[in-house]
Amino acid sequence: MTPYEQLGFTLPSAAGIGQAVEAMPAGERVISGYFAGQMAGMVYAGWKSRRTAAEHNARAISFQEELNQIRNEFGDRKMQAEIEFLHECHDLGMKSQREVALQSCRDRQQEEEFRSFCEKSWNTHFRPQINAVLEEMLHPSTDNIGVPRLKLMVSRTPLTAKSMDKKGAYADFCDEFKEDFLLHYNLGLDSIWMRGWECDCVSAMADTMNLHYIMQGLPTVVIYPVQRGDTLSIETATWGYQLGQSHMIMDKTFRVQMSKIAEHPERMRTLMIAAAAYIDDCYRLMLHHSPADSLYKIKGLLQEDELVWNMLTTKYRGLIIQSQNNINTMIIDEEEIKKLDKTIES
Amino acid sequence: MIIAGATIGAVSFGIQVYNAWRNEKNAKAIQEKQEAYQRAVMEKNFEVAMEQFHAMADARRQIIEEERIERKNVMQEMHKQNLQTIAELASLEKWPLAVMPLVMRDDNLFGYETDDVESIVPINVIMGPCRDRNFQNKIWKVVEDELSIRFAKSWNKASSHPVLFYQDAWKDDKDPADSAQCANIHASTQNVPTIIFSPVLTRRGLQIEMTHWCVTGMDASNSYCREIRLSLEGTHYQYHQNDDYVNVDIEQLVSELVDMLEGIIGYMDDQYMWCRYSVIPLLPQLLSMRYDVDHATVQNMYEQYVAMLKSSLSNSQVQLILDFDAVLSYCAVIDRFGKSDDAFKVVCCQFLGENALVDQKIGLPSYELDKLVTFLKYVMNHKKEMSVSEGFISGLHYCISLESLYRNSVESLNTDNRTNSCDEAHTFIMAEPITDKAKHSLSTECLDICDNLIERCRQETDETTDRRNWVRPMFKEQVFGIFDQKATDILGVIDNKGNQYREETIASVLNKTLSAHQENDLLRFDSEEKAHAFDECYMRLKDYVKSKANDVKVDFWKDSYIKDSVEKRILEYCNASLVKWIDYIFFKEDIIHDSISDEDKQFIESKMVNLTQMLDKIADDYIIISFSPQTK
Repeated sequence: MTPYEQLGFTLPSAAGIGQAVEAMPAGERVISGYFAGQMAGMVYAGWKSRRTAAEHNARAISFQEELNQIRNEFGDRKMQAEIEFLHECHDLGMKSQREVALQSCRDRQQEEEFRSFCEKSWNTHFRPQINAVLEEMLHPSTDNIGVPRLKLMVSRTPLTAKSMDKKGAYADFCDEFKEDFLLHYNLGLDSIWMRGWECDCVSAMADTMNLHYIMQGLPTVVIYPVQRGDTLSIETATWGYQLGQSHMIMDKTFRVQMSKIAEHPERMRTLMIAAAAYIDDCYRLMLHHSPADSLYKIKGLLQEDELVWNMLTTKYRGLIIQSQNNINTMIIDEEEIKKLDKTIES
Repeated sequence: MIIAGATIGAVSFGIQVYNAWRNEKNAKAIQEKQEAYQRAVMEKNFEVAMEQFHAMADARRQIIEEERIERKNVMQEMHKQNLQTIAELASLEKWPLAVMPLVMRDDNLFGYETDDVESIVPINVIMGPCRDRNFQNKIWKVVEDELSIRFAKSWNKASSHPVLFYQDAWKDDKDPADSAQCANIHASTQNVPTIIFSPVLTRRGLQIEMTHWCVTGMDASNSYCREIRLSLEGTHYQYHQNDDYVNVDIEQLVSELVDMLEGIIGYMDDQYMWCRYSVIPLLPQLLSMRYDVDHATVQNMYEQYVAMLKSSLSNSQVQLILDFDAVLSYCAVIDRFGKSDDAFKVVCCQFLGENALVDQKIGLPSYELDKLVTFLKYVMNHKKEMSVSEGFISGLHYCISLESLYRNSVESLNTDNRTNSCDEAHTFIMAEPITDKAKHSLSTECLDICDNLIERCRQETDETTDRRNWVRPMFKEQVFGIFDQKATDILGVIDNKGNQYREETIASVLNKTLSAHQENDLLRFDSEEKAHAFDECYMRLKDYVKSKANDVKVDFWKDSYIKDSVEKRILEYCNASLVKWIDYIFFKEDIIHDSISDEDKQFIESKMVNLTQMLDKIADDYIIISFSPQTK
């Protein structure tokens, strides 16, 4: 059924139309043909228009559905990403908290350990306070050419604290050592913590390590005059300026038979100042490339004791040879070497 | 016809079919485009939304990371602080004093309200023990006690120089205040001004070591000085170890040590109070009251205090301008003590010389004028009691840049009507206590200054209010009278001095007039002409002086008849000079109401020789021109 019929019209038969047309005058026939074509066209156009609208509508609905689906998919994806991100944040937060908690434990442990160190290893053994050492590190005492002065420490051993009043004897020893050598010969060593011990040194190595642990920012020489059997051993520990554990050196600088000390009671002190002067010179020559002043200042005193002088010159000769062998690492001025050589050979 | 009708019908139908087909196609195309557009927009939106999300996530991650690092840093700092606290707490266990560092630092733990006035932080003085028992008990403790009496009397906490003296505060007499202990105390009280004395008795005798910090007024971090050996030159006793001090006058020994230590502490405290609070020194005042201090000691201390003043001013620890009264009081106290004026000289030098307050070219800035006048008045008022020598005063005058003073006076008069200040300044300068030498110098400078002044006034006022126009009517007759008289007097003087002097004077006048400086401006002749003119002038002047023309006419003021001659030029020069002189006298007598003293007059007269000669010469020329030599 045509749409025309759907509307309740009945299509005229061809014979009917023919008869009607035949009955018309000629002019009307033409006009009627036009109208007939026009009507048919309108009928067709109307039908076509309705069909197109329906199709359009159907297409629009399906497109919206499609869009909706895409939107939903995106929403799902985004939600998933947000959830993942939340997890990530949570993990990071937890990780950070774990780190902090662990670090806190480690710090607390270290603090307790340090407290124990302060109480047991430092306060009972040494006179300088740790915060005074740390303060000195910020503004170290320097000589007139700006080189930080080497701190000299003399340990308390049975040889430096001989009487019953050990504390007094050790203080006297240090005061006089400072007065007779450092001040009298105007040596550049810093005596601020020379009398550094509270009690007798039991282990030179242990004391050195404890001292070095706090004082490694300050160039220092520690002298331990120790009697080992029948031998006097002048042992020294030294370190430079913030060079770390590897640059802490312990050395048995001089070893002499006790009988030779008994012959010359002053010899031990001379050996000690000789050791201090030698290390001060090494420190100046190697780290700061400044002249070996200590030897030149104290030469006269040391030459009075042939034994000490010979032992010391041996040390300096070794130093010269060492510096010549390692010319690239230890730069000592040629002139300085000549001067040093001349001094020790005189 | 039927066919035609059918054809038209078919065409009409076909058109409509075609339209319907096109419309449908077009609508589809539009719908497709719209869909494509919507799809693209949606994708774009999704893309933007995801980008925003990622950016937010990245920012959040970054924040979390930063928080983590920050927390870690805080922990590290806390850890470091904890370790430091442990070290400090451990140190406190071995604190050598009975007063804890907390108390020494005066930490305000309970938030007590304090007035806003900055309170003075006193110097802490600590006496370390000596390990020699006899010395400690028989000498050092008595010294400590005696010192505490003295400090309680003059240096107590309520005084202008508070000192906190820690008597008996050292806990363990067997543990001396050696360098290690001093370093320990310093570490806990770095910002508390402290002096520690530590006596040591060795085989070489007594040594007293001093350690101090924060007492020099310098930067606290650089002020730590340790192991300073005190000189014991003032003590007469040779101390040695384990001495029982039986046959010695202990009181004498104690007194020597107490004097020495009080001197040192007093000086350090004076320095500290001066550099930090601008409080004038006390020790010189105390020493002034003692009869047993020898001259050499006083002199040494005086030099020290002058040096302290100098260094505090040059280091800007004390601001001269801001602490003016304090500085002058310091000078008064110290100079009275030293019976000299070195401190004042330092201040003058600083104030007026090296201080850049006075620029030699520009002069003293006008806003400093009042200050200068105050300074001068102060010096005047305190002259006797401060025993200021004349040398100092003359030195002061040299220091004052007179030109700037005068210039500023005039400027002030013209602008601010600050007559008083200018008057005072001028009166001071021109009146006593000026020595002759200073006066001479002043007069010389005054003349030059006047020239400059007039020149400036002229430049400034030439076109509108020419000062000469109102100065001249007032002073013209008077000035002319003076000049007339002076000319006569001077000529008389010249005549009495004999020929040689006369000729020298004339030659000098000519030289000055025709000097190289004037040459280009005044004389535009070639060298021959110049020599000729010179000779002619010389001859004419010589003749004229010889003839003692007392009837010189001073009517040179009107237009000269002399055209294009040397004399014309000289006339112009003299005219200008005369105007300067008029203005100078006007300045002196009218503006600053000061008569010209006799010495000045004499000096001015001598200066006037040049001018008078010129006047004479011009008058002579006038006569020569008016009445030709032939006719004369």
